[in-house]
Amino acid sequence: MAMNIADRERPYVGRATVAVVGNPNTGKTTLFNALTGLSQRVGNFPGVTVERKVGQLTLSNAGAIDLLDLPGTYSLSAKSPDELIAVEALMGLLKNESAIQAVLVVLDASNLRRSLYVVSQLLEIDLPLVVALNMLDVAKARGIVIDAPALSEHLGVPVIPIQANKRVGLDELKEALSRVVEKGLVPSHKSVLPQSWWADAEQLARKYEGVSTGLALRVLIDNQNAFASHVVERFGDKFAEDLHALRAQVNADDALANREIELRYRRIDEVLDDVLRDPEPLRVTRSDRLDRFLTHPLWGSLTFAVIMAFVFQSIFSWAVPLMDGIDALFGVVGGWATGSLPEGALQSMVVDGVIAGVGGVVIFLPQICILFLFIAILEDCGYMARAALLMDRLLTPCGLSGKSFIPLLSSFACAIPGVMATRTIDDSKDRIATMLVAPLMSCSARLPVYAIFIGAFIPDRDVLGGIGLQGLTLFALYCVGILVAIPVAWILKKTLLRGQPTPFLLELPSYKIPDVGTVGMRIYQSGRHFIERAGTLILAATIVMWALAYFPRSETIAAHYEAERERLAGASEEVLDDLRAKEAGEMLQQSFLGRMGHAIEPIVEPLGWDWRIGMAALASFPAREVIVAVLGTIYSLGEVDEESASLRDALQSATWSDGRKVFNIPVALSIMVFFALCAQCVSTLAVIQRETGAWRWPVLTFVYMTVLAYIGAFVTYRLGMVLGWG
Amino acid sequence: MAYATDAVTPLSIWSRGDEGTIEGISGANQLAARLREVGAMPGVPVRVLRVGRTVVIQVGSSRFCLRKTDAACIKGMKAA
Repeated sequence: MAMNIADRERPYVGRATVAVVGNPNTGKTTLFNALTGLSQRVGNFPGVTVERKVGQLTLSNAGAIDLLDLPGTYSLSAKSPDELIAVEALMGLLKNESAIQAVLVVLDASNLRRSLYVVSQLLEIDLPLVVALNMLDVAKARGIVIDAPALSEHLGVPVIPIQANKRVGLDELKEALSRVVEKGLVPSHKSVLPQSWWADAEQLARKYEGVSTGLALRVLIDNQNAFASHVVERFGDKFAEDLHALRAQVNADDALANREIELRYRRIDEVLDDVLRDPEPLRVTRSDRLDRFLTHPLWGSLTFAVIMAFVFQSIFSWAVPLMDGIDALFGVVGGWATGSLPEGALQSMVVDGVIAGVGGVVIFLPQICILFLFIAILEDCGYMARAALLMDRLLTPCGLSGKSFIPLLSSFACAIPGVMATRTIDDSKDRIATMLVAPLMSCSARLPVYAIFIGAFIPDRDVLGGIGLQGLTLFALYCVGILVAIPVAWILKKTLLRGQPTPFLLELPSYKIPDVGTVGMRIYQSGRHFIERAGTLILAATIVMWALAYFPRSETIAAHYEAERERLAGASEEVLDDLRAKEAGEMLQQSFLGRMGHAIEPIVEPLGWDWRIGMAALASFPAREVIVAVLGTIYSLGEVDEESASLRDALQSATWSDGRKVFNIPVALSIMVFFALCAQCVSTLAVIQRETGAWRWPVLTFVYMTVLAYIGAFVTYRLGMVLGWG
Repeated sequence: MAYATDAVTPLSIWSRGDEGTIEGISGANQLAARLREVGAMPGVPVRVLRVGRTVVIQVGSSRFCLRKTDAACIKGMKAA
């Protein structure tokens, strides 16, 4: 982590940037991780390749370079927003992005023909190129023989056989990169496209500054796709007119695109005749046999349900010892701070504010890490695509496709990478609808909220043979978000986002053993992000809430209790504790927070909440984990039960002014349902705004989710009371 | 593009395990373009691995899933 902080301070000027490009599922991310390790910086949020990832690499001759991991792409003719980013970066069209000096393209040796398509395009964009031939072991096991030197000869660029997951061939790869970057060797490749196309492209490029011949050729060929529209928008109406005229002169529009594919594959097949021996292209692999079961409509769906249930059960059961450890650690720190700080506002802020608040959030780190462990494993082993296949059936009736599945599943970790992962969806209406329901998926920030209330109020007993009631409740809460998302998506696709059903095409990669480094990196990044959030946003919110709950200090109350204590001098410790608790309670009642809380009490009372829950929920609108921190602070100020500092005990013993317990099962459920549905995350709303470029979508998300949350919490509480769970 | 011969059929009506070669992709939409780009070109070996609402086809050495209705745009000739 120290390495990363240092990186941020070092200026990145004058250093070569090498882009890592390749088809999806070629082991590109594994190679990127193997080359850059902990030196990589991922925007602010975790995600596989949806976010801009840069890492450092030191080469023998070329010195330190930046390696930029671009989203996987099958072709430079971009069809989804995700591919658009990759192509724009390569063409030097991204704002605030340093120009790319060289390209490292990763090929899947067991899928060589398809992998070579994008190489054929990359050879013509005037950038130095190095080819990493990955997964040779898989190819070999299938009896495929590849002559790498011959491939290199044909392409005119270095081809380095590697095994990214076993870290084999990386030194040779670095050596080749170093040579190519240092000398700036551009492949001297003869284009497979007709000379006349290049002449036309050059004619267009000459007229506009910033338009290279390669770029002009791309837009000339690509008709109406994401990339072409984007470029046309950027260079203005005159450019659009010229382009249109040129296209009319050359040929009918789509013919060029088809012709390009034909010409490239003709050349690829010529090369492969020399380079590749594949005795049995349609052989049945182990993956195929596994898929007969795992994509089976019945057995596959059942397996999927079992995997998900197992994940949720593990989050609860495996994390316990680690969480107890963190709890004990914060207990010790709190005790030490109480002892070494003078009594007063500072001590209260550190102990009741920071330690009780932030500690209450950090304790959930193990659960977050376990969740990401499973997501990373499922993603890396290739199962996610099968899940998307099975889910297409369920998503089509909502007006979405299987492509929405991976963004939605990522949203169970965090809606931010989830919203960004929608870039893989080609259709813009599907994409917006997916973004709008993504925050309904129970993200990891909700986990602390569920965990604290389930732990405190749901009985720990077995139902359904081996499955605990607590795990089952957690599973049910995850389902609430999903069940609400279905009609929301359906209504959106019927009204604001009405459109044709969009095609669904997804590659099913071969299953593989997940790479330890890739999984570890994912857990590390998400854990770090969680801790950073706890140390910044949550910390700030906690201190503000502490101040509101601590001030103003009432002289009258203090004087009153001081007199009481003098009067009762010599009374038992029990009586004195009781007195201290009453004083703290009265102080809290008259604090700023107490006064605000009483003002909003009529709004939250129908949900079964007292003013303290109401205030904690209100304070959690910037980030939902705040509720745990705020409850920690409120209860640690309001109670003086020094024996057990844990929030769970404080919640269990909280009472209304008439002595009734505040919390019972319906109240706990009502809070959890509220948090399951409410849009309490400023960062998610901001990322929806950024991705859609319009304010109306985040506003709509906020309004519909908050309204549904209130209704959901109300119904849950009333139903719970009627059923006699109170 | 017209396919007069009886032997050329859309992949959407093939059964699981059927093998053959691709004869062509019809249509000018993005799906058809993407299928071509990933190598679904005439002459390439093809096999159907899963049938139903969502089908899985093997094109060369890659496997793709797509809806049955979309798979209708891929025409192939079944091996005897």
